[in-house]
Amino acid sequence: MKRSHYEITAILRPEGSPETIRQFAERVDEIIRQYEGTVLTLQSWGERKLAYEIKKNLKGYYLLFDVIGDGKMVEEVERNFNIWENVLKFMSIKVDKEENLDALLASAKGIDSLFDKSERHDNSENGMNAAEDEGKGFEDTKRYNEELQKSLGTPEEEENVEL
Amino acid sequence: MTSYNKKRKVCRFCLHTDMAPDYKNVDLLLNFITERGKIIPRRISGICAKHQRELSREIKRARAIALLPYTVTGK
Repeated sequence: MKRSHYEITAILRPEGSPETIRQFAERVDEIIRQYEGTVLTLQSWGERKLAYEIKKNLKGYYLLFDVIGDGKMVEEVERNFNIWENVLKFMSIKVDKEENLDALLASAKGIDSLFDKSERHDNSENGMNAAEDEGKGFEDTKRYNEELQKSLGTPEEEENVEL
Repeated sequence: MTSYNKKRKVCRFCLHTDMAPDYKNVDLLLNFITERGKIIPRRISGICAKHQRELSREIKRARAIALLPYTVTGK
């Protein structure tokens, strides 16, 4: 079995409660386990505005599965995404940079990496607290962007282009 | 500003090697598309060929999951 590192993004219908999102993640995790894959981390970007309408929806709930497994596993996950109605769209990406898969596996956190946190939200009576859920993956990119912006300055004269 | 002896732009991603284009990093990609959603050519942005290839791949990935638009029309 040839294992690779994949990133599987799923966009769910925005109406879902935290409970349905959890169920969804557990079902995906189950499939991945069946195919002897491992979820490294599960990230939630919360509810985001979509850049274009998907199945009449203007918003979507983003989940990102960071997974190690083989192609069969990805195939099966995608087959199920196509069947489940609460999945608006999905995309699987093979991470092609060189990595030490064993080291990644050793640090695997599973889908709980997300849910310990969202449970706390439930307790605080804030069911759909997507804005805070976003935190994990997004904080990093935000910081990263700020740094980048600082070091790059503003993009110059890109508007001049005749397109 | 179209003077002849204009300073040559250097690829931003070559300068900052720790920052690669990534489809998850929407705020970064937004710098490299026009208001209409088109990818800015590298003759304008000054990105090197290698990074422009990576960048365009990542922009297209971001489009696929609705993080970026394919087109922006005047509604």
